[in-house]
Formats: sequence, structure tokens, C-alpha cells
Amino acid sequence: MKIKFLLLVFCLITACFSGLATQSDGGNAPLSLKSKQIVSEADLKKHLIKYQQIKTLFVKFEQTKKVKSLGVEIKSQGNMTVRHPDFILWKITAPSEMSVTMSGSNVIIVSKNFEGKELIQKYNFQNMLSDRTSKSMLYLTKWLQLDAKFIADNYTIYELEKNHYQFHPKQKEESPFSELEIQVSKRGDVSKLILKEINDDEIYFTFESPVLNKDKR
Amino acid sequence: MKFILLLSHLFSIKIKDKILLVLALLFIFLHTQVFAKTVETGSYIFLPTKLENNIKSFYSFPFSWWNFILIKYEAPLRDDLIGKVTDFCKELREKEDQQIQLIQCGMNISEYLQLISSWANDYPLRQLPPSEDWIKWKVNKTLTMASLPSIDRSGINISILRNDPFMTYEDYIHLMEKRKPFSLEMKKGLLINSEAGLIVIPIMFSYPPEKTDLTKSIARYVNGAKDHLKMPITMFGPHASNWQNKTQIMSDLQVTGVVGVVLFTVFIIALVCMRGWKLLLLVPPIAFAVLLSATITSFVFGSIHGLTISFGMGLIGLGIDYGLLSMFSSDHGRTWKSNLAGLLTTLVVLFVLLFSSIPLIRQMMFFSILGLSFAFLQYYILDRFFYRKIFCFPFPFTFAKSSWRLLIFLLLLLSSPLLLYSSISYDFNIRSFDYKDSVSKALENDLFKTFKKISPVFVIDRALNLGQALEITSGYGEWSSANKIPSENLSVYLPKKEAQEKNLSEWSEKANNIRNIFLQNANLKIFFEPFLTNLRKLSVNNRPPDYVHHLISLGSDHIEFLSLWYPTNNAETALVKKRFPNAFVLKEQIEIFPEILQKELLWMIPLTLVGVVLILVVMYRRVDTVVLSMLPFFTALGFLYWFYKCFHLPVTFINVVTFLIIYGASFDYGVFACDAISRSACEDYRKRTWSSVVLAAISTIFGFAPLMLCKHPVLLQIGQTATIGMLGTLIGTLWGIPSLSYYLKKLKND
Repeated sequence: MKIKFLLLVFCLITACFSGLATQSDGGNAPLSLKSKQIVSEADLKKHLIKYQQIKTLFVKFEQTKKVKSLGVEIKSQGNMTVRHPDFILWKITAPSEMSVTMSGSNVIIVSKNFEGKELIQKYNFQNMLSDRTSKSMLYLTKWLQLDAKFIADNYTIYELEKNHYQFHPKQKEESPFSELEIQVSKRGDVSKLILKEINDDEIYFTFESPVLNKDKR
Repeated sequence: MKFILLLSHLFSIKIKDKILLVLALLFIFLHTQVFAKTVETGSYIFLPTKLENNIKSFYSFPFSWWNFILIKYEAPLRDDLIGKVTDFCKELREKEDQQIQLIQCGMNISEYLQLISSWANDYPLRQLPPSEDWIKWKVNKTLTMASLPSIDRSGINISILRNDPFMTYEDYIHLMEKRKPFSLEMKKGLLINSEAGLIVIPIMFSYPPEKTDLTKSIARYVNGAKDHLKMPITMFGPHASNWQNKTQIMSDLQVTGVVGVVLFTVFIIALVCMRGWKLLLLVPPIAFAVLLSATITSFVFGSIHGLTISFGMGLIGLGIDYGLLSMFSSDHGRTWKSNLAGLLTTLVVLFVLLFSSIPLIRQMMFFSILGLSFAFLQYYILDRFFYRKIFCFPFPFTFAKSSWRLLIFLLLLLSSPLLLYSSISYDFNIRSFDYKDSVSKALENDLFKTFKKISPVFVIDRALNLGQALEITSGYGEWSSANKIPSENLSVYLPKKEAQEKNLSEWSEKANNIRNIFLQNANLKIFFEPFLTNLRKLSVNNRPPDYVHHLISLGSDHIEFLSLWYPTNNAETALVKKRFPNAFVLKEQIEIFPEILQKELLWMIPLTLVGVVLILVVMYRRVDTVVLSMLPFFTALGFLYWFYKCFHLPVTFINVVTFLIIYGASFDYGVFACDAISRSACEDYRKRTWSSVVLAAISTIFGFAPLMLCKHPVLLQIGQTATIGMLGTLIGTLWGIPSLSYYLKKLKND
């Protein structure tokens, strides 16, 4: 279960960096259209250079999971803090409080018991599962490092519409998601993220405007 | 009319032919009868009844059906190795799904889905309903978990949460963690001893260990994986051990079968060349004696063990000595007196050992006493009516007196006490019966280092039904808490029936309020529908749920249930045993066996020696004859001492049981030799006696020597002890008695 938090962090990072990498206006577009591949490794590198100037990022989100087999929606909300190069704090505030902090290969999961006392669990993700989930953790690390070669090598990127992108993992059997979709707002930040799971469930994220601090180097 | 003619024909047949005809018919009848009975191969027959019951009962519980696949890796543990290992586990699971109950390899939660669901369903039986605030808090937490991405295709996590809104599976996982007998790290989903470079994969079979046929395909798959994984791999546990032993014994017997046939052929050719082929007529009576005694033993004991047949045949095969002596004899009166002395000295040994508390020894002695007596009787009758008409030339064996032969004899004779008093080690542990190759031994030793030092204590109880069992174990739970000794028993999983009914009743009273929490919106109602449905239908019943199956063995009209305590020191172990008189530690149960055996041997061996001496005194009334007759026994012991000493081998239970064969033969040969060298015996009688003794010894050695090619410790030890012991007996008989007698007489005359 804890791995799920980390996967979600991975997806959010993907979304945020993807959004920051493109400065075009966003819009609402149909979610399942495919278009030609537009982002080459070289283009991606160009987009990512802009992001490398970011020092910190804070963004609030609302999440809806659609369990297709049951026809139900599960809602939650929270916020995320990212500090370059490898610190992430992802916090769910409702329906129940829980936070995951990732720093390097260390993971700290904090939740509360009924009495409000904090329960802290610490892990080193090098010791975690060596399967699709742990490979996802490696993907996350590469995203944090903004390894353009890795992203281009592992994802096929489509532009569905202007500022509406779709990422398809090239190694589907190793990915927990069949595809990711991102919509970017006019301000250049990610407004929506959609994760499609292998079992056909979908997770929808809606983001508020992020608070950014640029690196003055 | 035809019938009358047949009868008259029958009456006209000569007596000896009639005897042979009857024997042949009985032979055929008994042959079918013996094989209609079950031949046992289990290891419980080594144990006294109380031990056997404990251990047999223990292995009827699925708790004991865990084995471990051990894989040795070279550090560091690379991802590609982990991938290979998890793929191996996945394929094994797919291939042997029926045979495997659980396999812990990677965090594959689907393995535990049924158990977790069953556990979650029974939450209202275990606990009073919590407060509404708590339920709301927990439901929110569960929804948070459910909102996260699933990690596999089947949506298993969602299905668990739908049944388990209170995430009670965390408690179940915690209980499972406490049950582990070892301390290992978890790395990337695998249990690891990083110090030893060992991956440990616990695997629970779905059937008891003695069903080796079901273990065959898994064992072969594991064995075959070493080529693919390119890492040493083995399987350890009760199922693996049974399979490995059976396989190795079959493999060894194939080898010995071929060698045995070759030796037997050589033996027959040698007999033919030496004009002794008629000696083969001695074989059918022995075969008949074996079959007859096997049938009777089988009826008396309910079945006959494979080891009884193997050892017993060796003992009965001693009976051929009597036949050989009579066939070569030129003085049948003297011969049969020697034979009788030989029989009685052997029978006294067998009779004393018949009172052993070890069922295998009792069965073996019963079988052997019957078989030897039948063989003796047949040879006596056949000698009177048949064998005396067959003339056997004695073989040209002469054993001239020589001082160097005498010296070797004396060396062996004087070495015999060293077997008891020197640095020879004794290992009567039942574990020495197990076959293990060197790779398996090394890997298992690495695993043993991770086991908790103090072994758990087991108690097996019986009850009419689950309700009664829970009543008993609720007391265990209270005692465990009061004395702070952790325990695994039924009460850990379920309270007494009254408490379950009370809990469920409370849940029913608050059902509407609880349901309202889940009916706040349509999404909650649909999502937790399985939980709500279960809550409506839940009732207390006597059917054991899945999550306690590992502690239960169902009988036709009762259940047996297992309870465990995990003491942390010897004082706590003693406290548990004091509170529960029928408690036992598995390791100690197995270690009792050598203690029992040692105690029995301490009085049985002296008693048998006294019995033998008495018989020889009564029959021969000469001190020198009595003493000389016993010397081959001591030279056999002396030769064995040097063999064990030179090869640094311990003396095991199997060595001791095999030595019974030598015990019987040595007194037989001693008596034959003394008779042959007595003043009244002529040179021809002596030659004939040496012929029969040498042939008897050769046939015994040819029968057992091929077993020295075996790898299985039981077969190897039988071969070594019988061969070396028989050679020592021969030295005493052929070199010792004649030479010593000669020099003693010379001294007396001088």
C-alpha cells in the first residue's frame, strides 16, 4: 500500500515537470485521441532546461479515482512540495491524513492513529520490491533527475491537442499504468492529470496554480 | 472318478516329493498374501509409541507442511537475480498450483487473499463494535488507501478493502510475522540472509509429507532450476526430506541391484566350477521362510516395514548356514548339534531384543525369530529326506596355523573393548538416517543459523468440535498473557463461542448506526457492499475458518488442534511443560530416541551375552569351547573398531541393528569352528566345516557389500557394518580359533 503513495508522487512529478516544460496555453480536450509523436529527445531536453531553474514547487490537488468495475468514484485531496533535486513531500489531507516524504532513496510515511498520534515508517526503496512497482520507483528517480534520454527512451509522447499530451510507456508490462494524460493551462502549469491503470480504473487529478521559487544560480 | 484317480495318484507320490509339493503350493499362496498387505516405508516405526503419536500428529497439521527453497547467491544481490528468482517462483506456482498452498516469494498478496478475506469477514466475531467515530475515521483511512493506484491487474487490493473496511489484514500480517521461526531480512520482496548469501523461499504444501508421489514434480522442478538460475538451490523440510531419501534409496538400489546380480552370477559360476551347484537347492527354503514369516508378521502387526524385510532377510539368511553345514556334513549328528547351538545362541539375542520399546526392532525380531526357526526346521526335514542323498565335495580350504594369523586375531580381539571406551563417537540421532548431499547440507546449515535459539513448545489436544477447542484454548491465551510467553493457538484468532455470540449480538444491535456510516453516499454503499452483506449473514458456527486451518487436523468425529508457545529461555520452556504435561519440543522428541536406545542397549547386550554363555555351557559343558565360540564375535567388534577409527565414522543406530546379523553369525561360526577342531572331529569334517563357513560368509558378504556403493547413509552403513563385521568374524573363526586352540594345546602339553 505504501508503494502506491510513491507511485502517485511519480505521476505528479511527471505531470508537473511536463507542464513546466511546455509554456503553451492549456485547454479541455477529448481524452482518448491519439496524434503523431511530436516530442523528440532533443525537443524534450530543450523544454526541460527551463525546469532546471526551479528550486521549489508547492501545489494543491484534488483527486478522483473511478473504479470502473464498480461504477464508483473515490475522492481525496492534498498538496505536494518538491525541492530540487530530489526532495518530495506528498500529503493527502482528506478523507484521511497521510504523507510520504522522499529524499534520495529514503522514504518516510507518516499517518495518524485514532488518538491523533503520529505513526512513522521509514524505508529505503533500494530494499523494496523488485518488480514493476520498484521499477516505477526507478522511473520516478529518473524523472526527478530530468533524464530526458530516459523519458524519451521509456515513453512515447503524443500531442492530442494543443497543451494536451499523452504518455505511453514503451514497456507496458513493466508499467503500472497503461497511459498518462496531461492538460496544461494558459499559465503554463499542469491543470489536469489522468492516470489509466492496467485494470481500467482511472485516477483524475485537478491542480491549482503552483507556487514556484526559481533558482538564482 | 477323475478326482479319485487324482487322489490315488497323490497318495502314491513319495513322501519327499509330497513335502516339496506342499511347500511349493504354500509358497505360491503366501507370495500373494504377503504382497496383498501393505509394506510400510514411513519413519515413525523408529519411535516408541508415545513419540510416534506426537510426531505423527504434529505432521498431520498444515502448520508443519512448510518447507523452504534455499538459493545461494554471490553478493551483492542484483536485480537480474531477483527477477530470475521471482520468475522461478511464479512458474512454480503456475505449474504446481494444486500441490502448493502458499509460497512466499515477492510481495504477492494474491497468495494470501483467501486467508485475509476470511479473517476480515470474521472481524465482528472477534471484536465488539467500535465507536462510530472510530468507524468513520477508519473508513476514511480505507478510502484513502483505495484511492491510490492499484499495483496489479486484478484489482486485488480493492477487493480486500471492500471486505475489510477496518484494514484488519494488518493484524493478520502481524500474527504471521510473529510465527516465523527465523530472523531474516526482507529485501526486494525476498527473505534473505545477506551474511550467508542465502535467499529463503517458504513454501507450504497442501498435503502431508508422507505423500512423496505428490512432491515428485515440485522436487524435480526445483532441482532443474539450478541450471537456469545458475545458483545452487535445494529444498529443505519434511516433504523435501521424504522425497530426497526415497529418491536416493531407489537410485542406490538400482546400482546395488546391478552389482548384486553380477556378484550372484559370479558366485553361481564359481559354485558350478567347484562342482557345488547343488548348493543352490538351499535357496528355496530360505525364500519360503522369509515369505511365511513376512505374512505372519504382517498379520500380527497390521503391516510390515520395508526395513524389517531388508534387515530381517539378512537375519533369516543366517539360516542358510545350517543348510550349508548339513549339506557338507559327513557326520549329521554332530552337525545338527552344532546347528542347534547356533540357532539357540542366535535366538536368545533376538528374543531379548524383542522387548525393545522401539517398534521397528520388535517387528524385526519377531520376523527374524519366525523366519530363522522356519528355515532351521525346513533344513532339518530336508536334510533327513533329501540333502543327505546329495554329495557335496568339500572345497580345498585349509587354514594352517600360523603365528601372524594369530597375531592379527589377537590384535582384533584385544581392540574390541575400544569400541566402547575409546574416542569413537556415537550418533544415535534419527537425523543421521536422512540423506543430504553436500550442497544441501551447506545451505541448510546457513538457514539453521537464522533460526531462533529456543525451539517452540507444542501441545496437541482433542475436542469434539471447534467450539470446545476454543473453550480450551481461551484458557491457554489467558495463561500466555499472565506469564508473558507468546503463544499461537486458536484463541489468538477467535474467542470462545459465547464471546463470539455476544460480539455479534452487539454488532446486530448497532447494525443500523453502523450501516448508516456506510450509506452516507452511493459510492460508499457500493464500494463496501461485500462487507455489509457479510455483516448481515454472519453467524457463529463450528466450521473452522481458513485462517485457523494450519492449527487444525480434522477427524471423523473430532478435531485435533495444535497450540504453540515461543519461550525465550529454558526457564520459560520448563514453565510451559509444567503447565501443560503433554507439551513437547519437536527437537527433544527426536533426541529422546538415542537416549531410549542407549538405555536399552546397556541392559540388552549384557543379557544376551549371558544367555549365549548359558546355552553354550549347557550344550558343551566345556569352558574352552564356550570361550572359543565367543571369540569371532569379539574379533568382529575389533575389526569394526579399526574401520570406524580409520575412516572417522560414528557408530549409528543402523550400525548397531546391522551388527545383530553379525552377532548371530559370529556365534554360529564360533560353534561350528569349535566343533570342527575338537578332538573327535576328523580332517574331512573340518574341511567340510570350513567349506560351509566360508561359503556362508561369502554369500553374506556378497549380499551386503554392494551396499557400500550407496550414498544413502542407512544403506551405506548397513553395507559397511555387515561386510566389515563378517570379515572380522571370518578372521576369528578361520584364523583365530584353530590357531589359538592349537597354541593353547601346545602350551598345555609343554
